[in-house]
Amino acid sequence: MLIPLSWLKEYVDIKIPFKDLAERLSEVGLTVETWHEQDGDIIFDPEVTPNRPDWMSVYGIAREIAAVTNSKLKNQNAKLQFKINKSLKIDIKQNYDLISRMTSVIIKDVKVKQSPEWLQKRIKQIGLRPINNLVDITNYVLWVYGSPLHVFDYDKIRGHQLIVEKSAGGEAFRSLDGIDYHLPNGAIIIKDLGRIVDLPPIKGGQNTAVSTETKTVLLHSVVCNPILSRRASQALGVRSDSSAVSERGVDPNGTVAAVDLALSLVLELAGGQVASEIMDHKTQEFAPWTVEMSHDRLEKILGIKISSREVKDILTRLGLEVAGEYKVTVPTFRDDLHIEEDLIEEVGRIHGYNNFPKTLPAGPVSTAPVAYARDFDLEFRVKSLLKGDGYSEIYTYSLVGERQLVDLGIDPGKTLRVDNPISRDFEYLRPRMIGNLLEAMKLNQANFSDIRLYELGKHYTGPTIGKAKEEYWLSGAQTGEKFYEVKGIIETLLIQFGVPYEIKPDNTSAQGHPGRSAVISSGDKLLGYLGEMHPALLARFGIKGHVSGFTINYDTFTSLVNLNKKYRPISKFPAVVQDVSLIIPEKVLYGDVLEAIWSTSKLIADVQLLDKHEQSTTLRITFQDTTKNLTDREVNELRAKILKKLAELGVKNKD
Amino acid sequence: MQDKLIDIKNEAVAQILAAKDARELEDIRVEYLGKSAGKLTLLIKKLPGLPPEEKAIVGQFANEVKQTIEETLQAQKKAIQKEKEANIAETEKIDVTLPAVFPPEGHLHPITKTLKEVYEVFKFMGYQMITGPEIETDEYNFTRVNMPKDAPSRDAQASFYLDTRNSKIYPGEYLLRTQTSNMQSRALERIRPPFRVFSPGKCFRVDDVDASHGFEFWQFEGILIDKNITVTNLLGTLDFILKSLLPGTEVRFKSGHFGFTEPSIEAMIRCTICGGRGCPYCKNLGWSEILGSGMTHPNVYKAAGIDPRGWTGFAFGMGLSRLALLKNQIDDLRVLTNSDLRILKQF
Repeated sequence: MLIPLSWLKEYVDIKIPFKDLAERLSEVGLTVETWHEQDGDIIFDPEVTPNRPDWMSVYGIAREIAAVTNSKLKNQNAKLQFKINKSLKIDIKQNYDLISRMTSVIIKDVKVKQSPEWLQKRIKQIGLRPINNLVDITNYVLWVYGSPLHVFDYDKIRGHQLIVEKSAGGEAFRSLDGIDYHLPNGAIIIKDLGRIVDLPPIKGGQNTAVSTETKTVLLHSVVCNPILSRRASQALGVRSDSSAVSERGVDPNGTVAAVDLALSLVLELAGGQVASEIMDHKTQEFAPWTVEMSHDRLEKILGIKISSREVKDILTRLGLEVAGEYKVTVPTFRDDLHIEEDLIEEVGRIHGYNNFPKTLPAGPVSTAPVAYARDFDLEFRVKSLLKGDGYSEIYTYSLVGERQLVDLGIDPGKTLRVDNPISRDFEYLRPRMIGNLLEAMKLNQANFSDIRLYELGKHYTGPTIGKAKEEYWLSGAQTGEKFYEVKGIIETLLIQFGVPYEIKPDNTSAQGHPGRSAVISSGDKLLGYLGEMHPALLARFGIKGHVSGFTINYDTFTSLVNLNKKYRPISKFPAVVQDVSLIIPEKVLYGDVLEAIWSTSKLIADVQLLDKHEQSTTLRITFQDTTKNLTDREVNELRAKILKKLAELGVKNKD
Repeated sequence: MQDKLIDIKNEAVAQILAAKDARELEDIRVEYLGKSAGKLTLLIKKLPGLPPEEKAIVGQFANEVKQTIEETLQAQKKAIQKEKEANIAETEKIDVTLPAVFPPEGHLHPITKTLKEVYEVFKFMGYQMITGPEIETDEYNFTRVNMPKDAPSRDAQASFYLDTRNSKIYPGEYLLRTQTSNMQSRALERIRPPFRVFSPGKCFRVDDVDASHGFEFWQFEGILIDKNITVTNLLGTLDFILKSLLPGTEVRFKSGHFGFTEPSIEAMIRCTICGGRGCPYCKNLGWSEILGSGMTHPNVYKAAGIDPRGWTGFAFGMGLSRLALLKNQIDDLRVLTNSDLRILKQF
C-alpha cells in the first residue's frame, strides 16, 4: 500500500531526512525499500509483515515513527458532535462468528458528487481512482485507520434489513465494479430481503451501490473473521485493500473512530443529516489484555544489559501501558503481542539489533551420531573421484513431464505427481534421473563430442503417495560404446570406498542395451546398473550415436562403505608368475573362468587378462605364499588343479 | 697369427672411432666379437691348433686385443652418448607452445562447491549435517514450525500438493517442502538437545520462473538448541558465517517476522553488485537481505514436546542457490539448472 509522507506528517512530527527514516523503519521491521517523489511529496510502499495489520494505515505507521524517533503522536481526530434525527431504521441480524463487530450509521439528504481537490489528491496518491465523495471517504478512512468501511444506498436495501450469513457456495454476486462472481462455500455475505448486497471484506454489491441519485446512505465499518476472509479471497482470487487488512486482523476497537471520521467527512463534503444513532453491534467488549515479562528473562534471551527505565520507555512509546517490572497492558491494535517473547522482541527491535554485541554460543559441541545425519565428506570424495574421470556434475529438476516418463517406458499412472503443477512439463516427481540425464546429453551433442555428465540426486518412487519413497541415486552417462570404461569407473569407485561387489549380465532393464548391460550387487543388496543405453531409448530422446552409463543406489552404497584400512606387509618370499592360454567356449563368461581360478587355492594372489583373441585367451596368474618359498612342484600342482577345474566348465588349455 | 690379430685390432679400433651411433657400434661388436661369426672369435677358435709355446703367447695377445676392442667400444659408446646429450637442445627440440594434451577433466557444480564451503564453516563451528525428506507433511513443513493452517505467513510459500489418488491420505496433507525448516520440526523431535545441526536441501514453491525465482531451489537451515542461548549469540553466529562465506562483506541486522522464531531477525549484507554505492539490484539501499533467523518460538518447542523454559536456541535459513549465484557472479537463477557444458566447464 502506498503512503504519502505529507499525510504521515499530519499525525507525527518527522524531523529526520526521509532516507534515514526509511532505514530506521526497515531496521525495526517495517521495510521501506521503494519510494518515489511526486509533486514535492514522497510516496513510499512499505512491506508490511503479516503480523502487523496496524502498519497497514497512516495512523499506525505514524505511531511506529513516534516510537522509533521518540517524537509525539498527534491527537486523533476530535470527537464529533452532531444532532441525531432518529427517523430511519435498519434491522441488522448479526452473526458474530463472521463479523465480530459492525458499527453503522444512516445519513440522509446527502449530495453525491465529486470529491474536493484535496481528497482527490490523496486518493490519487495512494494509487486509487477518485469515484465520488462518499466512496472516496471510505477509502480515505481505510487508509487513515486500517478499518474497512462500506457505504450502501439505504433506499436500495430491500426491507431495510441486513443479515450476516455464510455463503452456501455457487451463489451469484455482482460487485459494485460490475464483475460477476460465483461465490465459494463459507464466504461472509450480507443479504437484504432476498439478495446478497455485500461480500465483506472483499467487495460491495452493485445492487445497493451509491450513485448520483442517492439521497440516503448507510455507512458501516466491519471487523470480519480473518480466516474466512482469507479463504474467500483465495477461493475467488480477489484481494482488495479492505480484504488485505481484514485477513491479518483488524483492530476490533477501530470501527468507532473510523465511522466517526467518515461521518464527519460526509457531513462536511456531502452535507445531510445523521438519521440514526451510531449502531454498534459487537460480540463483546474488546478489552486490552495483560502480558507479564520479567527483566531477568528479557536479559537472558537478548543477552544484553538494559535498564528497566529504557524497557519501560520503549514499551510506552509503542502505545503499551507498563506497570511494575513488568505487567504490560496491550491495546487491541497489537494482536501480535500475547506472550513474553513477543514483548522481548519489541524491546530488542526498538533498542536496535545493530547496537547489540556479537558473541558465540559457549555450549558443548557434540560428535555423537544424530538422526538424519549425512556424510558430506563422503559425498564430496565421490564427486571428486568422478571429476577426475572427466565427469561434470549437473543439478536437474525433480519435477518432470509425462512425455519424458513415456519415453523412458515408465507408467505415469504409477508415478508420484503434484495436483497443481506450474506446467505439464513439471508435473511428476522423477522416479529416475536418467531422463534428465539423457536430455542433458542431447542438449550438449551439438557442441561436444565427448560428453560425460552425472547427478547425485533423489529418485521419488510410488506408486502412490501412501507408499512414497525418496532415495539418493548417483547416475551418469557418457558418449560412445564405453562399457568397459564405465565399468572401470564404477569398479574404482566401489574398490576405493571398500564396497564389496559383483557385476553380472543383465537384460531386464527397459533402458539398457539388452546385450551390453550389467547389474551391480553386493551380497543380496542391489547396488545399481551399468552399461550401454538401449538404442531405441536414445532414438526417443533424439540422441545420435551411442551412450554408456551407470546408476548406483547411493543410499545402499553409503551403507556399505568401509574406509577402514588394515596394513598387510609385503611378502618376504617371491611370487611365482605363470601364463596360461585358454580356449573359452562362447557360452562361458570370463567372470565364471575367473571365479573358478580364484576358488582353487588361497595361494592365488592375482589373475590378469593378458590377451584375448577370438580363439584364445591368455591369463597371467600370480601365486604367492607369504610364509615360505613356493617350489616348482607346488606351482605345477596348482596349475594342474586350475586346469582341471576349468575343464569342468568346458575350458581347454591351449598349450 | 699375431699380425692378423694386429690387423683386426687396428681395423676394429678405426671403425669404432669412426662410428656415429650405438647401432653402428653394435654392428661392429658383432662383426668382431660376435659369438658365432666374429672375426676375432673365429681367430680365437683357431688357437687350440697352434703349437703349445706359440699358443700361450698368441692366446695372451688375442685376449689383449679382445680387451682393447671392448674398452674402445665402451669408450666410444660413452663419447657418442656424451655428444648426443650435448646436442639434445637441438636434436630433441619440441615446440612447447603447441596445445597441451589434457587429462579428462570434470567439473563440480557451483551448488556443490558452495555447499562445500558452507559445510566447512558449519563444521568448524561444531554443527553436524543432516538431511531429510522433500515429500513432506503439511504438519512438519508448516504447523510444527508455528505456521498453522490459514496463517497469512503461508502466503509467501505457495505449495505443490501431492496427488493422493489410490491412497488413504487426504488431499492437502502431503506437499513438497517449501523450506528446509521442516528439518527444524524433525530435528527437535528426534535429536536430544543440546545440539547444533545444519540441513541443506532442495525446496519447492509454486512460482513463476524468472532470473531470481524458480519453483525448485536450494536452501540451508542452521539450528542450535542449548541452555542460555541469547540473541547476541545468534548475531555473532550469523556475522561469523556470513563473513566466512562472503569474505570482505559487511553485515547489518533488522527486525523480521517468521512464524518459527520470536524475536525474528533478518541479516543484510553490503550489496555485492555495487559494493554499497546503490544500484537497481539493491534498490539503491546499498544492502540486500540475505538471511532470516530468530530465537526458536516456544510453540515450536511445544510442538516437539520440549519444555520451552528448559531450552533456548535459534534457527536461521538462507538460500544456497542465492549464495552460489553471489559467489560466482551469476545473474540468473536458471543457470544453476542448465546442463550446458559450456556453462558447467566454467566452474
